[in-house]
Amino acid sequence: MQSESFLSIGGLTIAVRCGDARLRCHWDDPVSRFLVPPAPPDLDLTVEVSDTLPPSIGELVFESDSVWRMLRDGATYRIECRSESFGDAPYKVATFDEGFTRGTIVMRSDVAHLNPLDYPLDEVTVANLLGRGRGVELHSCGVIDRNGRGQLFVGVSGAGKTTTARLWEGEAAGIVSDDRVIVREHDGAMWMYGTPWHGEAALSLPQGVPLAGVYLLVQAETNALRPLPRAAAVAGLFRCTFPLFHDASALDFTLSFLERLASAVPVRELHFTRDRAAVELVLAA
Amino acid sequence: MKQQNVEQKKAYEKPVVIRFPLRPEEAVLGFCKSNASAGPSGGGCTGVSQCFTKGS
Repeated sequence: MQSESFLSIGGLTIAVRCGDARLRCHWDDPVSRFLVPPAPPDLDLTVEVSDTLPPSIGELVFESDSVWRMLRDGATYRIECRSESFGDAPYKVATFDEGFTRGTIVMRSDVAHLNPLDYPLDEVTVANLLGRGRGVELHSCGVIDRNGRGQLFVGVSGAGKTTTARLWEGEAAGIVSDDRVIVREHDGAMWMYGTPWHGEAALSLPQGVPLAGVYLLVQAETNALRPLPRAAAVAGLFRCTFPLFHDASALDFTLSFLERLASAVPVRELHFTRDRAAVELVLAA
Repeated sequence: MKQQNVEQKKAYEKPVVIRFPLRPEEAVLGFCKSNASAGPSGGGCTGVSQCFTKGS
């Protein structure tokens, strides 16, 4: 084996084993912050190079209409990644067993210089791990306050996640991501975890901390915290997840997880004016 | 007593529908971040053509 790496993202361990010297299996910042010593993996990935990618067989179960699609052939899932840069054919194909415990990534030789887990395969893979009863990834900014509590600011693109991260930079003990945060449940308590996937502020940390508050970002003329009925909280959170739309049981899990999240942690709207008063408001909550 | 119960009765509130529109291109991890689309601007987004432009 040419190289072996172990990544821990959201408390999930992914082993990446590269057996070909042409592969670029080293990890740049910030992904390198998520490297851990060898441990029993939740997902064991082998990476190969071949100009004959596995044939596109099976039932199409999901089409993103852009850079990836998923097929299912019996108990095997197949994720094809495409790009205008590399022609019509997939430039890499990943196959997984039904439980997403083992997988193989096959890369064409002309793209072997790219990291095998480059977007979108990294996030699609983690979404599949989380959707199998493990947790939820949210489009959000995760802040660790000075008391070690997780404060999660949730919103679609343009909602103000990076702005929020910058407002907290002098006040926070850490910012685990300004764009993607994973939430998982441990012994009835909700925890948030950083991811390597960041926004414009390029903030990313691998830490996980107990979650104290969740805030749906609303840009407004004045700063205010507004409570939400639980159904509205779940709906507002759901639109900022990356669910497995093709998998009914995973969708059920995601919705029930969000309901438990909204029960365990206060979920409120944060109407904010993009100034530091919003930070004070959250700290006083 | 009856009068008290009437007073304590919660006033009827007409149900309202709150819409939270999905953004499909974001929810399906279809694009990297750019001025026109959604996705993280970090990680491996420079690997494919849709992801050359980084944004907020």
